[in-house]
Amino acid sequence: MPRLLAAGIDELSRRRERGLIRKAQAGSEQAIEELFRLYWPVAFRAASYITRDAAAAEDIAQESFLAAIRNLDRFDRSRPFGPWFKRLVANRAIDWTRARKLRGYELEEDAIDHAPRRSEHVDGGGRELPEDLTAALALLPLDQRTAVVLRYLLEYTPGEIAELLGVPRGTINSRLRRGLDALEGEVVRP
Amino acid sequence: MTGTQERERELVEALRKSELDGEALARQRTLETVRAAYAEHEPRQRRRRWTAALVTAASLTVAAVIGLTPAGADFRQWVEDTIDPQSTNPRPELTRLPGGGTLLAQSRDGATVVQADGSRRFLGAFSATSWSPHGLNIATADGGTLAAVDPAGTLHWSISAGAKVRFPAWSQDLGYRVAYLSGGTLKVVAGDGTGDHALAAAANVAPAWRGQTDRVLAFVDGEGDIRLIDVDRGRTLGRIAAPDGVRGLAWSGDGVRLLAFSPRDVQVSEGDGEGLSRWRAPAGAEVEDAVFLGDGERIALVQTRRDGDRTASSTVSIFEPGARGGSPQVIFRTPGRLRGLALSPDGSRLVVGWKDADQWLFLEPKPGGDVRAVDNVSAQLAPGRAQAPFAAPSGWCCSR
Repeated sequence: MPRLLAAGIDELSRRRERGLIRKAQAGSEQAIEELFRLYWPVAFRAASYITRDAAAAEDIAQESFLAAIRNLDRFDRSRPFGPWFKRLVANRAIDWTRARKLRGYELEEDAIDHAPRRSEHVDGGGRELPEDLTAALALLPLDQRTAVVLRYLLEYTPGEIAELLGVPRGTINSRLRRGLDALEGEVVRP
Repeated sequence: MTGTQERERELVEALRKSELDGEALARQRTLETVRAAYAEHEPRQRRRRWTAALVTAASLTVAAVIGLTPAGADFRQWVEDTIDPQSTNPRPELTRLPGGGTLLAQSRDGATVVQADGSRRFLGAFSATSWSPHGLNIATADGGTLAAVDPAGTLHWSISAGAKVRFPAWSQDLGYRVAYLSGGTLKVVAGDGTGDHALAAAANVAPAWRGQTDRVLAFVDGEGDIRLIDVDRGRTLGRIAAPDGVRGLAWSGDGVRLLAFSPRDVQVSEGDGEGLSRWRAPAGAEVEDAVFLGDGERIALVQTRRDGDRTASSTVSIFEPGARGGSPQVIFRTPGRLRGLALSPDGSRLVVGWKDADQWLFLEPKPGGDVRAVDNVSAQLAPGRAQAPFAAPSGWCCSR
Protein backbone atom coordinates (compact mmCIF):
# COMPACT_ATOMS: atom_id res chain seq x y z
CA MET A 1 0.00 0.00 0.00
CA PRO A 2 1.41 3.44 -0.88
CA ARG A 3 2.73 5.18 2.21
CA LEU A 4 0.61 8.32 1.74
CA LEU A 5 -2.55 6.26 1.45
CA ALA A 6 -1.64 4.25 4.55
CA ALA A 7 -0.97 7.48 6.47
CA GLY A 8 -4.33 8.82 5.37
CA ILE A 9 -6.12 5.71 6.59
CA ASP A 10 -4.28 5.96 9.92
CA GLU A 11 -5.40 9.55 10.29
CA LEU A 12 -8.99 8.59 9.48
CA SER A 13 -8.80 5.83 12.10
CA ARG A 14 -7.45 8.24 14.69
CA ARG A 15 -10.21 10.76 13.97
CA ARG A 16 -12.82 8.06 14.21
CA GLU A 17 -11.33 6.84 17.47
CA ARG A 18 -11.28 10.35 18.94
CA GLY A 19 -14.91 10.72 17.95
CA LEU A 20 -15.80 7.46 19.65
CA ILE A 21 -14.00 8.47 22.85
CA ARG A 22 -15.78 11.83 22.85
CA LYS A 23 -19.16 10.16 22.42
CA ALA A 24 -18.37 7.52 25.04
CA GLN A 25 -17.39 10.25 27.49
CA ALA A 26 -20.72 11.90 26.80
CA GLY A 27 -22.65 8.71 27.54
CA SER A 28 -23.07 6.93 24.20
CA GLU A 29 -23.44 3.19 24.71
CA GLN A 30 -23.10 2.71 20.98
CA ALA A 31 -19.66 4.35 21.07
CA ILE A 32 -18.46 2.19 23.94
CA GLU A 33 -19.61 -0.92 22.10
CA GLU A 34 -17.77 0.20 18.98
CA LEU A 35 -14.59 0.67 21.02
CA PHE A 36 -15.17 -2.77 22.51
CA ARG A 37 -15.57 -4.28 19.05
CA LEU A 38 -12.37 -2.62 17.90
CA TYR A 39 -10.14 -3.43 20.85
CA TRP A 40 -11.44 -6.36 22.89
CA PRO A 41 -10.51 -9.11 20.38
CA VAL A 42 -6.88 -8.11 20.28
CA ALA A 43 -6.85 -7.88 24.09
CA PHE A 44 -8.35 -11.35 24.49
CA ARG A 45 -6.07 -12.93 21.91
CA ALA A 46 -2.93 -11.31 23.29
CA ALA A 47 -3.81 -12.41 26.82
CA SER A 48 -4.70 -15.90 25.58
CA TYR A 49 -1.41 -16.37 23.77
CA ILE A 50 0.66 -15.02 26.64
CA THR A 51 -1.13 -16.78 29.50
CA ARG A 52 -2.35 -19.91 27.66
CA ASP A 53 -5.27 -19.85 30.10
CA ALA A 54 -8.64 -19.01 28.59
CA ALA A 55 -10.24 -18.00 31.90
CA ALA A 56 -7.32 -15.78 32.82
CA ALA A 57 -7.37 -14.22 29.36
CA GLU A 58 -11.07 -13.45 29.66
CA ASP A 59 -10.48 -11.86 33.06
CA ILE A 60 -7.53 -9.83 31.80
CA ALA A 61 -9.36 -8.53 28.74
CA GLN A 62 -12.50 -7.79 30.73
CA GLU A 63 -10.78 -6.03 33.60
CA SER A 64 -8.68 -4.00 31.17
CA PHE A 65 -11.78 -2.76 29.39
CA LEU A 66 -13.54 -2.03 32.67
CA ALA A 67 -10.47 -0.09 33.80
CA ALA A 68 -10.68 1.88 30.57
CA ILE A 69 -14.33 2.72 31.32
CA ARG A 70 -13.47 3.78 34.85
CA ASN A 71 -10.78 6.09 33.52
CA LEU A 72 -12.77 7.33 30.55
CA ASP A 73 -13.50 10.74 32.02
CA ARG A 74 -9.84 11.42 32.62
CA PHE A 75 -8.71 10.19 29.23
CA ASP A 76 -6.93 12.82 27.16
CA ARG A 77 -8.53 12.68 23.69
CA SER A 78 -5.46 14.17 22.07
CA ARG A 79 -3.72 10.86 22.74
CA PRO A 80 -4.58 7.63 20.93
CA PHE A 81 -6.70 5.15 22.88
CA GLY A 82 -5.25 1.98 21.41
CA PRO A 83 -1.71 2.12 22.84
CA TRP A 84 -3.02 3.11 26.24
CA PHE A 85 -5.52 0.26 26.32
CA LYS A 86 -3.04 -2.26 24.99
CA ARG A 87 -0.61 -1.30 27.73
CA LEU A 88 -3.27 -2.16 30.33
CA VAL A 89 -3.60 -5.57 28.71
CA ALA A 90 0.12 -6.16 28.30
CA ASN A 91 0.90 -5.24 31.90
CA ARG A 92 -1.83 -7.48 33.23
CA ALA A 93 -0.80 -10.44 31.12
CA ILE A 94 2.86 -10.03 32.09
CA ASP A 95 1.93 -9.64 35.76
CA TRP A 96 -0.19 -12.77 35.55
CA THR A 97 2.62 -14.90 34.17
CA ARG A 98 5.05 -13.52 36.73
CA ALA A 99 2.64 -14.17 39.56
CA ARG A 100 2.22 -17.74 38.35
CA LYS A 101 5.95 -18.18 38.27
CA LEU A 102 6.31 -16.74 41.76
CA ARG A 103 3.75 -19.21 43.01
CA GLY A 104 5.71 -22.07 41.51
CA TYR A 105 3.57 -22.94 38.52
CA GLU A 106 5.54 -24.41 35.67
CA LEU A 107 4.27 -22.50 32.71
CA GLU A 108 5.84 -24.56 30.01
CA GLU A 109 4.70 -28.08 30.86
CA ASP A 110 0.97 -27.51 30.61
CA ALA A 111 1.26 -25.96 27.19
CA ILE A 112 -0.51 -28.60 25.18
CA ASP A 113 -3.66 -28.82 27.31
CA HIS A 114 -4.20 -25.10 27.46
CA ALA A 115 -2.86 -23.99 24.13
CA PRO A 116 -5.40 -21.77 22.43
CA ARG A 117 -6.61 -23.22 19.17
CA ARG A 118 -7.85 -21.50 16.10
CA SER A 119 -11.47 -22.15 15.21
CA GLU A 120 -11.63 -20.53 11.79
CA HIS A 121 -9.20 -21.43 9.10
CA VAL A 122 -10.37 -19.35 6.20
CA ASP A 123 -10.02 -15.61 5.93
CA GLY A 124 -12.42 -13.28 4.17
CA GLY A 125 -10.82 -13.86 0.79
CA GLY A 126 -11.09 -17.60 0.99
CA ARG A 127 -7.33 -18.04 1.33
CA GLU A 128 -6.28 -20.64 3.83
CA LEU A 129 -4.51 -19.26 6.85
CA PRO A 130 -1.55 -21.15 8.29
CA GLU A 131 -3.38 -23.97 10.04
CA ASP A 132 -1.08 -24.56 12.97
CA LEU A 133 0.10 -21.04 13.57
CA THR A 134 -1.73 -20.45 16.80
CA ALA A 135 -0.80 -23.86 18.16
CA ALA A 136 2.80 -23.28 17.14
CA LEU A 137 2.78 -19.88 18.80
CA ALA A 138 1.37 -21.37 21.98
CA LEU A 139 4.19 -23.88 22.07
CA LEU A 140 6.93 -21.26 21.98
CA PRO A 141 8.77 -20.68 25.25
CA LEU A 142 7.14 -17.97 27.35
CA ASP A 143 9.78 -15.32 26.71
CA GLN A 144 9.67 -15.76 22.91
CA ARG A 145 5.91 -16.04 22.85
CA THR A 146 5.46 -12.88 24.89
CA ALA A 147 7.86 -10.95 22.68
CA VAL A 148 6.12 -12.14 19.49
CA VAL A 149 2.65 -11.28 20.81
CA LEU A 150 3.73 -7.85 22.03
CA ARG A 151 5.42 -7.12 18.70
CA TYR A 152 2.98 -8.52 16.15
CA LEU A 153 -0.38 -8.42 17.91
CA LEU A 154 -0.06 -5.45 20.25
CA GLU A 155 2.30 -3.63 17.85
CA TYR A 156 4.98 -2.58 20.31
CA THR A 157 8.43 -1.73 19.03
CA PRO A 158 11.33 -3.86 20.28
CA GLY A 159 12.45 -0.91 22.40
CA GLU A 160 9.04 -0.61 24.02
CA ILE A 161 8.93 -4.35 24.67
CA ALA A 162 12.35 -4.16 26.29
CA GLU A 163 11.07 -1.42 28.56
CA LEU A 164 7.90 -3.33 29.43
CA LEU A 165 9.76 -6.51 30.29
CA GLY A 166 12.79 -4.86 31.83
CA VAL A 167 15.34 -6.62 29.61
CA PRO A 168 17.88 -5.27 27.09
CA ARG A 169 16.64 -4.49 23.60
CA GLY A 170 19.13 -6.92 22.11
CA THR A 171 17.54 -9.69 24.14
CA ILE A 172 14.14 -8.81 22.70
CA ASN A 173 15.51 -8.80 19.16
CA SER A 174 17.00 -12.20 19.80
CA ARG A 175 13.74 -13.57 21.22
CA LEU A 176 11.80 -12.21 18.26
CA ARG A 177 14.23 -13.72 15.77
CA ARG A 178 14.17 -17.13 17.42
CA GLY A 179 10.39 -16.97 17.77
CA LEU A 180 9.94 -16.09 14.11
CA ASP A 181 12.31 -18.82 13.06
CA ALA A 182 10.32 -21.35 15.03
CA LEU A 183 7.10 -20.13 13.46
CA GLU A 184 8.49 -19.78 9.98
CA GLY A 185 7.23 -23.08 8.70
CA GLU A 186 3.71 -22.11 9.74
CA VAL A 187 3.73 -18.50 8.65
CA VAL A 188 5.36 -18.38 5.27
CA ARG A 189 3.79 -21.50 3.88
CA PRO A 190 1.55 -20.38 1.02
CA MET B 1 9.45 -6.09 0.60
CA THR B 2 12.16 -8.32 2.10
CA GLY B 3 11.56 -11.92 3.09
CA THR B 4 11.58 -11.00 6.77
CA GLN B 5 9.10 -8.18 6.27
CA GLU B 6 6.89 -10.47 4.24
CA ARG B 7 6.79 -13.17 6.92
CA GLU B 8 6.19 -10.54 9.61
CA ARG B 9 3.25 -9.19 7.62
CA GLU B 10 1.89 -12.70 7.23
CA LEU B 11 2.16 -13.26 10.97
CA VAL B 12 0.38 -10.02 11.79
CA GLU B 13 -2.43 -10.87 9.39
CA ALA B 14 -2.79 -14.36 10.77
CA LEU B 15 -2.86 -13.22 14.40
CA ARG B 16 -5.44 -10.55 13.66
CA LYS B 17 -7.77 -12.79 11.72
CA SER B 18 -7.60 -16.02 13.67
CA GLU B 19 -10.44 -16.25 16.14
CA LEU B 20 -9.66 -18.50 19.09
CA ASP B 21 -11.79 -21.25 20.49
CA GLY B 22 -14.19 -19.82 23.04
CA GLU B 23 -13.60 -16.27 21.87
CA ALA B 24 -17.19 -15.63 20.74
CA LEU B 25 -18.66 -16.74 24.06
CA ALA B 26 -16.08 -14.80 26.03
CA ARG B 27 -16.82 -11.71 23.92
CA GLN B 28 -20.54 -12.00 24.61
CA ARG B 29 -20.03 -12.47 28.36
CA THR B 30 -17.66 -9.55 28.56
CA LEU B 31 -19.84 -7.29 26.46
CA GLU B 32 -22.71 -7.81 28.88
CA THR B 33 -20.45 -6.92 31.79
CA VAL B 34 -19.12 -3.88 29.93
CA ARG B 35 -22.66 -2.68 29.16
CA ALA B 36 -23.62 -3.00 32.82
CA ALA B 37 -20.47 -1.21 33.98
CA TYR B 38 -20.95 1.57 31.47
CA ALA B 39 -24.59 2.00 32.47
CA GLU B 40 -23.41 2.73 36.01
CA HIS B 41 -20.82 5.18 34.74
CA GLU B 42 -21.87 8.81 34.99
CA PRO B 43 -21.06 10.65 31.77
CA ARG B 44 -18.41 13.32 32.01
CA GLN B 45 -20.48 16.17 30.61
CA ARG B 46 -23.34 15.71 33.03
CA ARG B 47 -20.98 15.59 36.00
CA ARG B 48 -18.92 18.48 34.75
CA ARG B 49 -21.85 20.86 34.95
CA TRP B 50 -22.14 20.09 38.64
CA THR B 51 -18.39 20.17 39.13
CA ALA B 52 -18.08 23.52 37.37
CA ALA B 53 -20.78 25.03 39.56
CA LEU B 54 -19.16 23.72 42.71
CA VAL B 55 -15.69 24.82 41.65
CA THR B 56 -16.99 28.29 40.82
CA ALA B 57 -18.73 28.59 44.16
CA ALA B 58 -15.69 27.29 46.03
CA SER B 59 -13.37 29.62 44.14
CA LEU B 60 -15.51 32.63 44.97
CA THR B 61 -15.55 31.64 48.63
CA VAL B 62 -11.79 31.14 48.76
CA ALA B 63 -11.22 34.41 46.93
CA ALA B 64 -13.44 36.17 49.43
CA VAL B 65 -11.59 34.66 52.36
CA ILE B 66 -8.09 35.23 51.01
CA GLY B 67 -8.48 38.44 49.13
CA LEU B 68 -11.29 40.43 50.70
CA THR B 69 -11.16 39.83 54.41
CA PRO B 70 -8.58 40.80 57.02
CA ALA B 71 -8.35 37.16 58.00
CA GLY B 72 -7.27 36.33 54.48
CA ALA B 73 -3.80 37.71 55.07
CA ASP B 74 -3.24 35.08 57.71
CA PHE B 75 -4.74 32.27 55.67
CA ARG B 76 -1.55 30.54 54.65
CA GLN B 77 -0.10 31.02 58.09
CA TRP B 78 -3.17 29.36 59.53
CA VAL B 79 -2.72 26.36 57.34
CA GLU B 80 0.89 25.93 58.30
CA ASP B 81 0.56 26.78 61.94
CA THR B 82 0.11 24.66 64.96
CA ILE B 83 -3.29 24.96 66.52
CA ASP B 84 -3.09 25.52 70.24
CA PRO B 85 -4.46 22.37 71.88
CA GLN B 86 -6.44 24.49 74.30
CA SER B 87 -8.23 26.17 71.42
CA THR B 88 -10.41 23.11 70.89
CA ASN B 89 -12.68 24.52 73.62
CA PRO B 90 -14.11 21.11 74.33
CA ARG B 91 -17.73 20.67 75.24
CA PRO B 92 -18.25 18.71 78.42
CA GLU B 93 -21.07 16.54 77.09
CA LEU B 94 -21.66 14.54 73.97
CA THR B 95 -25.17 15.67 73.04
CA ARG B 96 -24.99 15.19 69.28
CA LEU B 97 -22.63 14.02 66.59
CA PRO B 98 -21.46 16.79 64.27
CA GLY B 99 -21.85 15.17 60.85
CA GLY B 100 -24.80 13.03 61.98
CA GLY B 101 -25.00 9.29 61.42
CA THR B 102 -24.05 6.66 63.96
CA LEU B 103 -20.58 6.06 65.27
CA LEU B 104 -18.86 2.92 66.51
CA ALA B 105 -16.18 3.34 69.17
CA GLN B 106 -13.69 0.75 70.27
CA SER B 107 -11.92 0.46 73.61
CA ARG B 108 -10.03 -2.43 75.12
CA ASP B 109 -13.26 -3.31 76.97
CA GLY B 110 -15.40 -3.56 73.88
CA ALA B 111 -17.51 -1.68 71.35
CA THR B 112 -20.03 1.10 71.84
CA VAL B 113 -22.59 2.58 69.43
CA VAL B 114 -23.09 6.35 69.56
CA GLN B 115 -26.23 7.69 67.91
CA ALA B 116 -26.60 11.07 66.19
CA ASP B 117 -28.24 12.52 69.32
CA GLY B 118 -25.25 11.51 71.42
CA SER B 119 -26.94 8.56 73.14
CA ARG B 120 -24.72 5.55 73.69
CA ARG B 121 -25.13 1.80 73.97
CA PHE B 122 -22.40 -0.63 74.95
CA LEU B 123 -22.61 -3.47 72.43
CA GLY B 124 -20.41 -6.06 74.10
CA ALA B 125 -16.86 -7.13 74.72
CA PHE B 126 -16.03 -7.21 71.03
CA SER B 127 -12.48 -6.66 69.84
CA ALA B 128 -13.44 -5.32 66.38
CA THR B 129 -16.57 -4.25 64.54
CA SER B 130 -17.79 -3.28 61.07
CA TRP B 131 -21.03 -1.67 59.90
CA SER B 132 -23.29 -3.32 57.35
CA PRO B 133 -24.05 -1.03 54.36
CA HIS B 134 -27.09 0.72 55.83
CA GLY B 135 -26.15 0.47 59.48
CA LEU B 136 -28.77 -2.15 60.26
CA ASN B 137 -26.23 -4.66 61.53
CA ILE B 138 -22.70 -4.80 62.85
CA ALA B 139 -20.19 -7.59 62.28
CA THR B 140 -18.29 -8.24 65.47
CA ALA B 141 -15.27 -10.24 66.56
CA ASP B 142 -14.92 -11.87 69.96
CA GLY B 143 -12.09 -14.36 70.29
CA GLY B 144 -12.73 -17.09 67.72
CA THR B 145 -16.32 -16.01 67.11
CA LEU B 146 -17.68 -13.85 64.32
CA ALA B 147 -21.16 -12.51 65.06
CA ALA B 148 -23.73 -10.11 63.66
CA VAL B 149 -25.63 -7.90 66.07
CA ASP B 150 -27.92 -4.94 65.46
CA PRO B 151 -27.19 -1.50 66.96
CA ALA B 152 -29.42 -2.38 69.91
CA GLY B 153 -27.12 -5.28 70.67
CA THR B 154 -29.46 -8.10 69.59
CA LEU B 155 -27.53 -11.09 68.32
CA HIS B 156 -28.60 -12.27 64.85
CA TRP B 157 -26.09 -14.96 64.09
CA SER B 158 -22.65 -16.18 65.08
CA ILE B 159 -20.12 -18.66 63.77
CA SER B 160 -16.97 -20.22 65.18
CA ALA B 161 -13.97 -19.50 63.02
CA GLY B 162 -11.54 -21.91 64.63
CA ALA B 163 -8.97 -19.20 65.39
CA LYS B 164 -9.01 -15.61 66.62
CA VAL B 165 -11.18 -13.42 64.42
CA ARG B 166 -9.74 -10.10 63.33
CA PHE B 167 -10.84 -7.28 61.04
CA PRO B 168 -14.43 -8.18 60.19
CA ALA B 169 -15.44 -6.20 57.09
CA TRP B 170 -19.02 -6.09 55.84
CA SER B 171 -19.34 -5.57 52.08
CA GLN B 172 -20.69 -2.13 51.30
CA ASP B 173 -22.94 -2.61 48.29
CA LEU B 174 -25.80 -4.91 49.20
CA GLY B 175 -24.21 -6.42 52.27
CA TYR B 176 -24.15 -9.95 50.96
CA ARG B 177 -20.71 -10.81 52.32
CA VAL B 178 -18.60 -10.42 55.44
CA ALA B 179 -14.85 -10.89 55.11
CA TYR B 180 -12.57 -11.45 58.06
CA LEU B 181 -9.19 -12.82 59.03
CA SER B 182 -8.76 -15.90 61.14
CA GLY B 183 -5.42 -17.51 61.94
CA GLY B 184 -3.62 -15.97 58.96
CA THR B 185 -6.43 -16.87 56.54
CA LEU B 186 -8.83 -14.58 54.72
CA LYS B 187 -12.35 -15.96 55.00
CA VAL B 188 -15.73 -14.89 53.68
CA VAL B 189 -19.19 -15.67 54.97
CA ALA B 190 -22.57 -14.64 53.57
CA GLY B 191 -24.38 -11.75 55.26
CA ASP B 192 -26.76 -14.22 56.92
CA GLY B 193 -23.93 -16.20 58.50
CA THR B 194 -24.00 -19.10 56.05
CA GLY B 195 -21.39 -20.42 53.63
CA ASP B 196 -18.28 -19.62 55.65
CA HIS B 197 -15.18 -20.50 53.62
CA ALA B 198 -11.48 -19.72 53.37
CA LEU B 199 -10.13 -17.76 50.41
CA ALA B 200 -6.39 -17.24 50.81
CA ALA B 201 -3.50 -16.76 53.19
CA ALA B 202 -3.43 -13.16 54.33
CA ALA B 203 -1.25 -10.71 56.24
CA ASN B 204 -2.51 -8.99 59.37
CA VAL B 205 -4.19 -6.06 57.60
CA ALA B 206 -7.92 -5.35 57.40
CA PRO B 207 -9.37 -6.39 54.02
CA ALA B 208 -11.29 -3.71 52.12
CA TRP B 209 -14.34 -4.18 49.91
CA ARG B 210 -14.42 -2.27 46.66
CA GLY B 211 -17.40 0.07 46.60
CA GLN B 212 -20.44 -0.61 44.44
CA THR B 213 -19.97 -4.37 44.38
CA ASP B 214 -20.08 -7.22 46.84
CA ARG B 215 -17.73 -9.22 44.72
CA VAL B 216 -14.31 -7.58 44.76
CA LEU B 217 -12.13 -7.49 47.84
CA ALA B 218 -8.64 -6.07 48.34
CA PHE B 219 -6.41 -7.69 50.93
CA VAL B 220 -2.73 -8.12 51.68
CA ASP B 221 -1.66 -11.65 50.84
CA GLY B 222 0.90 -13.89 52.47
CA GLU B 223 3.67 -12.46 50.28
CA GLY B 224 2.87 -8.91 51.30
CA ASP B 225 1.29 -7.91 47.98
CA ILE B 226 -2.10 -6.31 47.65
CA ARG B 227 -4.43 -8.67 45.83
CA LEU B 228 -7.81 -7.95 44.34
CA ILE B 229 -9.94 -11.03 44.42
CA ASP B 230 -13.33 -11.96 43.02
CA VAL B 231 -14.72 -13.66 46.10
CA ASP B 232 -17.45 -15.51 44.21
CA ARG B 233 -15.09 -17.17 41.78
CA GLY B 234 -12.06 -17.19 44.04
CA ARG B 235 -10.07 -15.61 41.23
CA THR B 236 -7.32 -13.05 41.54
CA LEU B 237 -8.22 -10.00 39.47
CA GLY B 238 -5.08 -7.99 40.11
CA ARG B 239 -1.98 -7.69 42.19
CA ILE B 240 -0.39 -4.45 43.32
CA ALA B 241 2.86 -3.99 45.17
CA ALA B 242 2.21 -2.78 48.71
CA PRO B 243 4.34 -0.35 50.69
CA ASP B 244 6.67 -2.15 53.10
CA GLY B 245 4.93 -2.70 56.43
CA VAL B 246 1.50 -1.90 54.96
CA ARG B 247 -0.91 -1.11 57.76
CA GLY B 248 -4.22 -0.36 56.10
CA LEU B 249 -6.28 -0.40 52.89
CA ALA B 250 -9.25 1.71 51.84
CA TRP B 251 -11.25 2.23 48.64
CA SER B 252 -12.63 5.52 47.48
CA GLY B 253 -16.42 5.56 47.67
CA ASP B 254 -16.80 5.07 43.93
CA GLY B 255 -14.54 2.02 43.98
CA VAL B 256 -12.05 3.57 41.59
CA ARG B 257 -9.03 4.27 43.77
CA LEU B 258 -7.32 2.11 46.34
CA LEU B 259 -5.37 3.58 49.23
CA ALA B 260 -2.66 1.61 51.03
CA PHE B 261 -0.57 3.06 53.82
CA SER B 262 2.33 2.02 55.96
CA PRO B 263 4.09 4.01 58.68
CA ARG B 264 6.33 5.50 55.99
CA ASP B 265 4.27 5.63 52.81
CA VAL B 266 0.87 6.49 51.45
CA GLN B 267 0.15 4.80 48.14
CA VAL B 268 -2.81 5.44 45.87
CA SER B 269 -3.56 3.58 42.66
CA GLU B 270 -6.42 2.80 40.39
CA GLY B 271 -7.88 -0.52 41.38
CA ASP B 272 -6.07 -2.09 38.45
CA GLY B 273 -2.67 -0.86 39.66
CA GLU B 274 -2.49 1.91 37.05
CA GLY B 275 -1.76 5.52 37.94
CA LEU B 276 0.10 4.54 41.05
CA SER B 277 1.51 7.34 43.18
CA ARG B 278 3.33 7.26 46.49
CA TRP B 279 3.98 9.88 49.10
CA ARG B 280 6.62 9.32 51.77
CA ALA B 281 6.22 10.72 55.26
CA PRO B 282 8.98 13.10 56.39
CA ALA B 283 11.81 11.63 58.45
CA GLY B 284 10.70 11.12 62.04
CA ALA B 285 7.00 11.04 61.18
CA GLU B 286 4.78 7.97 60.93
CA VAL B 287 1.44 7.57 59.22
CA GLU B 288 -1.05 6.24 61.78
CA ASP B 289 -4.22 6.24 59.75
CA ALA B 290 -5.60 7.41 56.42
CA VAL B 291 -9.03 7.65 54.79
CA PHE B 292 -10.39 8.99 51.52
CA LEU B 293 -12.51 12.09 51.71
CA GLY B 294 -15.89 12.06 50.01
CA ASP B 295 -14.61 13.24 46.63
CA GLY B 296 -12.39 10.17 46.33
CA GLU B 297 -9.50 12.39 45.26
CA ARG B 298 -8.18 13.74 48.56
CA ILE B 299 -6.99 11.85 51.59
CA ALA B 300 -7.02 12.66 55.29
CA LEU B 301 -3.94 11.48 57.18
CA VAL B 302 -3.05 11.12 60.82
CA GLN B 303 0.68 11.33 61.43
CA THR B 304 2.72 11.17 64.60
CA ARG B 305 6.16 12.56 65.12
CA ARG B 306 8.03 10.74 67.83
CA ASP B 307 10.54 12.11 70.29
CA GLY B 308 12.51 9.06 71.40
CA ASP B 309 10.08 6.51 72.81
CA ARG B 310 7.27 8.93 73.46
CA THR B 311 4.95 10.50 70.94
CA ALA B 312 5.75 14.16 70.64
CA SER B 313 2.95 15.40 68.45
CA SER B 314 0.28 14.32 66.00
CA THR B 315 -1.29 15.99 63.02
CA VAL B 316 -4.33 15.56 60.83
CA SER B 317 -3.60 16.59 57.25
CA ILE B 318 -5.37 16.72 53.93
CA PHE B 319 -3.68 16.04 50.67
CA GLU B 320 -4.26 15.06 47.09
CA PRO B 321 -1.82 12.40 45.91
CA GLY B 322 -0.24 12.47 42.49
CA ALA B 323 1.27 15.19 40.40
CA ARG B 324 -1.07 17.95 41.52
CA GLY B 325 -1.00 16.91 45.14
CA GLY B 326 1.99 18.60 46.68
CA SER B 327 2.49 18.27 50.41
CA PRO B 328 -0.20 17.51 52.95
CA GLN B 329 -1.84 20.55 54.50
CA VAL B 330 -2.08 20.31 58.27
CA ILE B 331 -5.59 21.01 59.54
CA PHE B 332 -4.99 20.04 63.16
CA ARG B 333 -1.90 19.57 65.28
CA THR B 334 -1.66 18.54 68.89
CA PRO B 335 0.67 17.06 71.48
CA GLY B 336 0.12 13.37 72.15
CA ARG B 337 -1.30 10.69 69.93
CA LEU B 338 -4.44 10.68 67.81
CA ARG B 339 -6.22 7.36 67.36
CA GLY B 340 -9.01 6.28 65.06
CA LEU B 341 -9.98 8.32 62.01
CA ALA B 342 -13.36 8.20 60.31
CA LEU B 343 -15.33 10.33 57.88
CA SER B 344 -18.96 11.20 58.54
CA PRO B 345 -21.55 9.77 56.14
CA ASP B 346 -22.18 13.21 54.65
CA GLY B 347 -18.44 13.89 54.31
CA SER B 348 -18.64 17.09 56.34
CA ARG B 349 -16.58 15.97 59.34
CA LEU B 350 -13.66 13.83 60.29
CA VAL B 351 -13.58 12.37 63.76
CA VAL B 352 -10.40 11.39 65.55
CA GLY B 353 -9.74 10.34 69.14
CA TRP B 354 -7.25 12.28 71.26
CA LYS B 355 -6.47 9.86 74.04
CA ASP B 356 -4.14 12.10 76.06
CA ALA B 357 -6.87 14.72 76.44
CA ASP B 358 -9.72 12.14 76.59
CA GLN B 359 -11.40 14.02 73.73
CA TRP B 360 -13.02 13.31 70.40
CA LEU B 361 -12.30 15.92 67.76
CA PHE B 362 -14.75 16.61 64.96
CA LEU B 363 -12.87 18.44 62.21
CA GLU B 364 -14.09 20.03 59.03
CA PRO B 365 -11.84 18.41 56.40
CA LYS B 366 -10.30 21.59 55.06
CA PRO B 367 -7.58 24.01 56.08
CA GLY B 368 -8.97 26.48 58.59
CA GLY B 369 -12.10 24.41 59.06
CA ASP B 370 -14.19 24.30 62.20
CA VAL B 371 -13.00 22.13 65.09
CA ARG B 372 -15.47 20.80 67.63
CA ALA B 373 -14.26 18.80 70.57
CA VAL B 374 -16.00 16.72 73.20
CA ASP B 375 -14.27 16.16 76.51
CA ASN B 376 -14.34 13.39 79.06
CA VAL B 377 -15.22 10.76 76.47
CA SER B 378 -14.20 7.71 78.51
CA ALA B 379 -16.52 8.44 81.40
CA GLN B 380 -19.39 9.37 79.08
CA LEU B 381 -19.14 6.07 77.21
CA ALA B 382 -18.79 4.01 80.41
CA PRO B 383 -20.79 5.84 83.09
CA GLY B 384 -20.40 4.62 86.63
CA ARG B 385 -17.07 3.11 85.99
CA ALA B 386 -13.89 4.61 87.42
CA GLN B 387 -10.80 4.52 85.22
CA ALA B 388 -12.76 3.63 82.09
CA PRO B 389 -10.47 3.02 79.12
CA PHE B 390 -10.42 5.47 76.23
CA ALA B 391 -12.57 4.49 73.25
CA ALA B 392 -11.40 5.55 69.82
CA PRO B 393 -13.79 6.09 66.91
CA SER B 394 -13.74 3.04 64.64
CA GLY B 395 -16.51 3.41 62.04
CA TRP B 396 -19.08 6.00 61.03
CA CYS B 397 -22.34 5.10 59.38
CA CYS B 398 -24.62 5.67 57.39
CA SER B 399 -26.98 7.36 55.00
CA ARG B 400 -30.18 5.39 55.60
